[in-house]
Amino acid sequence: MGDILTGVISAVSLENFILINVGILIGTIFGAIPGLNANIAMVLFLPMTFNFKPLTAMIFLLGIYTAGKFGGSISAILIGTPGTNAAAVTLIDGYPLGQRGHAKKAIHMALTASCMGSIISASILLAATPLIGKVALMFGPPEYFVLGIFGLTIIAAIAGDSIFAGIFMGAFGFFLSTIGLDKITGEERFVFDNVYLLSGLNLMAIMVGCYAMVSFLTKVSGRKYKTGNEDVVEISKNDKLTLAEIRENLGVMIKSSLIGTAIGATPGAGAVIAAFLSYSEAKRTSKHPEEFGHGALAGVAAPEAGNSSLTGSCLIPLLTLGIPGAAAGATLIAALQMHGLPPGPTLLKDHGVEIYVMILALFVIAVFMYIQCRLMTPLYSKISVIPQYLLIPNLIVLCIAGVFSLSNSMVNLYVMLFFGIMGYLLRKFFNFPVVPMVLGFILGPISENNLRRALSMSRGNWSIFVTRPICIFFILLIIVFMFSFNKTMKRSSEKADAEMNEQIQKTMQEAKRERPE
Amino acid sequence: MLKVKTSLCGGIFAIIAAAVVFALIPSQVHMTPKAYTQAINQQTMPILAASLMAIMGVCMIVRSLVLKKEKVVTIIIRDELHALLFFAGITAAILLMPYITYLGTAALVIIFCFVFMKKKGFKIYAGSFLFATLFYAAFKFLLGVPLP
Repeated sequence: MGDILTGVISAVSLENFILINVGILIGTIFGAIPGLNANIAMVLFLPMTFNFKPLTAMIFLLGIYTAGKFGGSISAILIGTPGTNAAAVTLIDGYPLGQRGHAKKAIHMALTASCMGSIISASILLAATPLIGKVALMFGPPEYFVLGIFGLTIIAAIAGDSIFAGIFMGAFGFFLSTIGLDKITGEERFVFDNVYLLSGLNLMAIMVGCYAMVSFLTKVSGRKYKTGNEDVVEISKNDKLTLAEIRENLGVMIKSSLIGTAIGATPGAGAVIAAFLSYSEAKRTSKHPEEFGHGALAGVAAPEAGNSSLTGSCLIPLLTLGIPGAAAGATLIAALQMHGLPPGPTLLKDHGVEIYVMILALFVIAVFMYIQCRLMTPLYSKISVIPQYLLIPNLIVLCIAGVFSLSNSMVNLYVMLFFGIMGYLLRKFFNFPVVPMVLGFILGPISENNLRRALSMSRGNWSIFVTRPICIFFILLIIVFMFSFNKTMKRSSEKADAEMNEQIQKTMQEAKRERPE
Repeated sequence: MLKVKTSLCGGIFAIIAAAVVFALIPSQVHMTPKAYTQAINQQTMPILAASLMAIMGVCMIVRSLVLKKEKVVTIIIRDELHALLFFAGITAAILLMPYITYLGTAALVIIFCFVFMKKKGFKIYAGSFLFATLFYAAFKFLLGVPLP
């Protein structure tokens, strides 16, 4: 406890407060612009954190991540285009509210629900971390290895349409992680006599290529940069969210936060499912379910609280076991690695103070987010319609600076370009997801080192993996996940998508009919 | 327009990729004499990864040909050429960076992008150049990273 207090005191600095707010600003902007998201923002700004202290860097990135979740609701309410996938559920009631002149009220409701979701999930994270951390201490090399395979399997199974394509990309990521000097024997692997490859490929360059470059190429291919003239709803000054309205929706927000937290703690379940389930539950238990879909405040509060509560709960498997639940989790793992905080069960044991300060920072982020976003509300109608043609060149210029700065060499820029075009073509032609490849690249060295240690322990006997209880537990989980849970999750995700699209179409048609000529 | 069977073509690609890795392993992963006697050595992980890649490739082909589960995507070649041309332009600008410095590359990227997207206007060019200069200053003076 004393250590944590010392950590908190050391983290309380003007620099950190400024960076939290910069992170929130960046996250909100990236979340509010359709086609961008918090993950792309984190990937783009991660190289900039290279010279930051580890804790400062992580707090800054968590600011981006948390605010990005809320940012998606802004464009959903103002222009009827969700900034993030999960915000599509917010659109169902948020957009009609905006059309009726209550855009400010809807945004503030979304903001309040987001902050509440973040705080509730952060509280649960704070309570759960020591318990899972205790179990994690029982892990040895065989358990680490099986855990690595488990982490990869769930992401490979969830990302993309085909589990085979996901596992292929994960294995490809494993292979890419072997490029460079072998850490145990010091022998060269796949370096082709190139000195630049001796230290291996840079994870950040791969991520910028796979996420940001692929996103730009997709927009250019679909000529999506031509947009930017959407009808934006005016934000009225007098349209205030009252305390009575907050109190009225308090129960919905708390319940949705708990639903979102439970879903977020399950690796692979996504924000869309959390938002949709929260919305459905709020509608089911409402006294006025007929108002849903026509501009009910509870219809904004529920999905936003559910969606934002993922920020804390998805950190539970990430910080305690080193398993990311989604693409943004993989970026946070990369950030932890880059700043010398190796993800995995030992993270809590070796860097407990930093982890607890990070968790406590989530509360501070939620408070700052509330204050900053309330002050920024008048500007949102401008931010959400920033045209893509303006963003693409400026973000590419930022990518170049960020990736070059990783090691002050051109090699990382070549790596970024290579993975940008490769990720784009693989996704376009074969529908291969890139997230499992990134995760395979992250988990590869951890799994390989622990496989070697485990086999040294057992003197080359592979049965060590099926004789230890935790290993057996995770192997069973892998089997259950691959053959049952994966299908259930995909089915519920598809069902949620279909129902949501139907509802959105209905809302948009109604909004068009009601719009004055 | 081009119709691509994602499972079948993806499976073939996966097997080719695995074959390339298998072919590279003997020449690119150096083995010490001691390594031959160990249960696991520096070649084990690449072999495991390549094997898994090949197995998944076979699974994708079986899924397509035997189980007849296939997703067909339509590729509009004109759109893809458009994206590839854009990528080529950005690549060219980046390759020139050691000779024309970061700011030169940034200017090239901005001009290329706006010309490519057929966007005109002094404000968008000036604003973007200003942003590029700000990034440069932020990296150089705030973060202490010397950009070329």
